[in-house]
Amino acid sequence: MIDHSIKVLVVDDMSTMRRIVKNVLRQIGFSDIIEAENGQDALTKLKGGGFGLVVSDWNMPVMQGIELLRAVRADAELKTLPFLMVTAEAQKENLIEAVQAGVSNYVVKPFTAEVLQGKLEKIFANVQSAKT
Amino acid sequence: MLVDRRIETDVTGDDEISEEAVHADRSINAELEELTKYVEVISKTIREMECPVTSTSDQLPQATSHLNDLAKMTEEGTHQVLGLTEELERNRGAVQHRLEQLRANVAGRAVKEIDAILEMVKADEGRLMNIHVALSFQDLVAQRVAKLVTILNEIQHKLLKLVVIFGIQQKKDGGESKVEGRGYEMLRQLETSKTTALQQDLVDDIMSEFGFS
Repeated sequence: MIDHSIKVLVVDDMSTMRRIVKNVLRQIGFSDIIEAENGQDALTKLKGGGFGLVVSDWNMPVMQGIELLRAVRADAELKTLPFLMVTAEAQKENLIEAVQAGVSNYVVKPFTAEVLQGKLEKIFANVQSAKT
Repeated sequence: MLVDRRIETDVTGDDEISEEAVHADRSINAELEELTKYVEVISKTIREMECPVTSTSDQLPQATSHLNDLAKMTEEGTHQVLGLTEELERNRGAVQHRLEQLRANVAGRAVKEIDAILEMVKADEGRLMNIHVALSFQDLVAQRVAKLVTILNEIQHKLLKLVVIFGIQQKKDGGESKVEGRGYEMLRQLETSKTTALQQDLVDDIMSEFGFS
């Protein structure tokens, strides 16, 4: 079951994508949603604490999504944070790189609301089973 | 090769010019003539290259600027559609809420009618969300445009290198280089449309001057 009360960080350099992902997350039931324009901005916000999920793009200026993921997994406070990559990078090597870096799941753009919801359900089911 | 032959003819040691040396000189002259012709052809080719290279290196920054404008336009258009679908979703939610309240206060056949309407209203929630998500095409377009801009910048850099290497004269300030072609004409039209495209209110003003209401 998804805990809808958690704070979610949406990371994308495109304002349209942040808006789309935020609306889909709202429809799923999340209400506490914060935005970041790139990996660096996201990392600063994440270090402020309180987040329960990151939904990030891959291709971004300043700091890419994959670098953000590595930084999150290298941080003692953040390393268990669920991290969903939503990206246009649909090459096998990208997916493998993300998996090796510790991504929780991977959604390819363009996606549907159902796909995003399905992936989030899987992420939280895994989190739940890891706790028990 | 020419130098080698010159040395060969010089080292004969005889004061008299041998038949062989004369033959070598003629051969050198023939080669020099050939080389001169070759240099002339190359010079002509470089001169012919000047116009396309300079005009292309002039046009590329404009073309990349229009590509960036294109990405910006799709972004603005997408935000407009997103705004409208968000409004529609708010209205849909309000209609659903009111119908549910109404349903609690009616009985009999009216309940069935309201349930049928509610079903349609609820189905629209998914449709609106699909419109929303379909707009993510804009992000894909913007990413491809960004890649094209990078490629064009690289081509421009390489063309500028050619300009420097061959000493091709750049367009002088205020001077127009002779450029032709459909691409140039389209680029010119795009550039002009930035400042001359009429807004609807201005069109209406002009039309009203001609008696159109």
